[in-house]
Amino acid sequence: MGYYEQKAPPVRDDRLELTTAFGGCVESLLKGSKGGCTAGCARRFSQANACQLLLTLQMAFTVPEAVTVVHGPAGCGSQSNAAEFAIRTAAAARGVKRDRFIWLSTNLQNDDIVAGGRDKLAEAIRYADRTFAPRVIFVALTCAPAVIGDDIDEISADLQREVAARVVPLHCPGFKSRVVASAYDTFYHAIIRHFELEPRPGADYRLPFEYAPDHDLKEWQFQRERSNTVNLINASSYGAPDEKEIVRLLNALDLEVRVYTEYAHYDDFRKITMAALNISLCNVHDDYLATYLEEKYGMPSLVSGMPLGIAATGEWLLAVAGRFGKEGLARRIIAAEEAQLSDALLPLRGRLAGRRAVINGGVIRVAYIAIMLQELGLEVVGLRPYHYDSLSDPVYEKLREHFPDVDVNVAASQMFEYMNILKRERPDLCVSHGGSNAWAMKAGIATAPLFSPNQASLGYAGVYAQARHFAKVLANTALQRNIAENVRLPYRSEWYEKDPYSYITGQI
Amino acid sequence: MGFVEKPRFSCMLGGALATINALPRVAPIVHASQGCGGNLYMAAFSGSGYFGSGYCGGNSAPSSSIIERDIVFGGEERLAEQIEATLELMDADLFIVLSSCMTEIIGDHVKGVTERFHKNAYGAPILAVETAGFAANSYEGYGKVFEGLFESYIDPVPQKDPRLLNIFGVIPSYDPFFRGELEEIRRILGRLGIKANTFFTNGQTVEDIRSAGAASLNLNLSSVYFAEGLERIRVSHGIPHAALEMPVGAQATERFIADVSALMDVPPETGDAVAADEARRYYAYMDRALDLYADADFQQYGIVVSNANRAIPYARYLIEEIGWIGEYVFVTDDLDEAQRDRLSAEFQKASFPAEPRLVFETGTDRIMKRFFEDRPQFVKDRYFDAFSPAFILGSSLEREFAQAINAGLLSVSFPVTNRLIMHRGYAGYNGGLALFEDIVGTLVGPR
Repeated sequence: MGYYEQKAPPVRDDRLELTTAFGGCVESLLKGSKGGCTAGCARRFSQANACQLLLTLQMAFTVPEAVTVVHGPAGCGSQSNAAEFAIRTAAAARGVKRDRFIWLSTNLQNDDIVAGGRDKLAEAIRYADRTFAPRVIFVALTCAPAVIGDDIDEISADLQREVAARVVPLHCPGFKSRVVASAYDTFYHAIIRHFELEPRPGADYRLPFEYAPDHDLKEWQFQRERSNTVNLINASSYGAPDEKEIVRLLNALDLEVRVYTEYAHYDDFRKITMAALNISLCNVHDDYLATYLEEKYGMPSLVSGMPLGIAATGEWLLAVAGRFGKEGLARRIIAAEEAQLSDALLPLRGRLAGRRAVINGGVIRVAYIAIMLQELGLEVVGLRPYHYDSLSDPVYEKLREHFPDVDVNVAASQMFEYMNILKRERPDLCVSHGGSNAWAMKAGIATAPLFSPNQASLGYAGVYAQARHFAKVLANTALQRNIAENVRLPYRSEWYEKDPYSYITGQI
Repeated sequence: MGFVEKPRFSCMLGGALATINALPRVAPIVHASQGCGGNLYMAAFSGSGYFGSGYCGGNSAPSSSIIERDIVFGGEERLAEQIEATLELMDADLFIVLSSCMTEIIGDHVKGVTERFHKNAYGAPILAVETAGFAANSYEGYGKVFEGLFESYIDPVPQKDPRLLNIFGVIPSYDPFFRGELEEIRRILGRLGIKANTFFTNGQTVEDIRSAGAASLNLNLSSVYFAEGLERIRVSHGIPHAALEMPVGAQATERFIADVSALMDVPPETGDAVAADEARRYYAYMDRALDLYADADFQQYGIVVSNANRAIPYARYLIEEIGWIGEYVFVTDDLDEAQRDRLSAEFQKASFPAEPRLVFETGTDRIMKRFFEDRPQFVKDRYFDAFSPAFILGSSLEREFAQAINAGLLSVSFPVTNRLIMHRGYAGYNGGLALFEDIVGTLVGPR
């Protein structure tokens, strides 16, 4: 790609055809994306959202024995108190030792904006190294120091000479990208440039002396381990139960699994290149890392949608198996799993059939959830992906087959459009990303969080867990009713008469 | 001011947003990168015992969400477009435009753009406040919003209402119990015949903001923050100001009643009668709790870790109200020399019997280390005067500290992540009782 040599990764806005504003059917979205006509879409009115800093920090926080220095004013990163509990419990659920959760703010003030924040950053890095003796110190760049020109790569490199920890810059100023998902590239770029990705002979593998009697056997074992191991690339939106389910399915294919990049220790990364395949669980998460490992180390990768939903899990498993010539085994696993799941779903189907749903969240996940809801007998009346980019095309082509006419509203939160759609469609169920559920509830609608750290959403276990969850929230909506009768939404009544997409500009 | 480990505050914009989010039917228009509004809201939300989005906060807050192109070419036109659309779409009684780091660095004239909309088709009042994140912390952001309101929204009223005062210095979200505290203070003042504008409690409207110019006193319940702002308001609106400590428990509230009576010319007998009546009720409840408290001997060695507004009031409560051995009072705000001096003077004034140590320290790790410097964790002696039983009145970040010294912990200070806070507050008489309930509740929790 040629991006990997640069200090900062390109943002997705520059490297992909991408939009955060669209309203219409799947067909026209695909046409717009392929014709290069979506990137210019914007909004005359918009509402607050997160930025790539938020997700970059969340990813950095998962790394054990790491301290993160947020280089910016005290407000940048101050949302991290919300992440501490989630990361502590998620690490524990994965059996990862993650005893302390430490981040520092360089707390930039007026004077620093004038004079530059170099000294403060250096001081914070030294303090972090001396006090907490971490393995890694991440340095996250925010908007203000990015604009005044603080060079965190240069400062990190200078400080590397005096500190024991690996100093790793993260380029994540919010204004640079309209999509939070740029954080994946930011984090992977840092790993690619600053982590060790090759095994050390002796430490990570040991081959006997060439003339030793068991040399050939050991050599064979080593090669077999390598050719039989896959890397599973995780993300914050997958909980420990998801990883467990996917590892279970891969183990059933007789594959060994190592999980990267979240919750993996710095020293674990040396083994990332000792595997036969990199498996991504989402089309828009991991292409940056997978492409690098392919180009640099010749490691093949599999980016083939999400194993979410009954058919999708089977297709995904077959795609993995295909790489190892194990399709027959995969088919037997799929048949057994589907039979068992189908029995389990029977009592739930009646409670879900015909219910109408709107889905709101990550671009790939909402598409797969839509197809799964159809499998469960629900009717999907609206889809709200946070953004749309050209990496999503294959998934939305598939979505088009299932829902040729469904309404797609590309919007990172943008609650005003959401509320308009909900008033119009009056669905029974909203499956929503965190931060949006309360608003759906105020509109009087049953809500289920799009994903949860404690509940599987992937694989066969995920289908059952979600079906059960949807049936539960639909079973009693007294709170939603009481709230909707007593709480007002902040829009003028005329808004609900208008087209939900009236504030989107540049759409062709 | 240097770097900070896990700051227990956010930036000026963060404080302004939290403040506006707590005002009734007031909408912010954030002129910033898309993440500022969402992230800063999340900071306030998760640290305040989950004070939610409310009417139009969280990810419903209007935001210009400027991108790199606007940074290069200027964001004023994008802001104008956003303001116009916001007025058209959102139903609010007052709109406040907030600037941010980026828009201040590139020099967008936020007040100028806002002025273009002073006359709008909806008759909606709108004003702008400059709140670059790097300019100051969240406590100052609170003051900045109120200064902006006095400057552009609250008219000076020559004829003051002798019975009306405005309460300041209680900062939404960053003082997590602000709603309950304000309601209790308002209740007590009401018994003295004083009307109080709290701005944030249920039933308050923009009319209470507008009428604030008629108040005869601006009562600041913070000895550190907003004094300069209130001085400017004294000059512009002719309202004198005075600072009193937030009272917690019967002893402190009795003093508060006497002080506020003197400030508002309430006859001392009225104050005495109210205090006596409240104390009877207060100690009747305490009476019933003693069987448990005394048998178990729940008197503890106390540590307070809190912000500049609450550290001393909480220390007073532990030491003067419930007779604990107060050893440490940590103040976790990033204060300048003058602010520290003010707080130290207040601390001296309190004249605690066995004087606890007042320590200014922002970092969670350093707070712990400061404690262990004085008190080694492991002592080889068979007999030594251990710091036990210990109790920390702090934030949720003190979890590790509490585990290290085997102390009880009640999180009362930002960030409070392990409790939902609705109408609870620790101010006044009801607050003193609630605090006692919660502290003892923690101690009997395992039963």
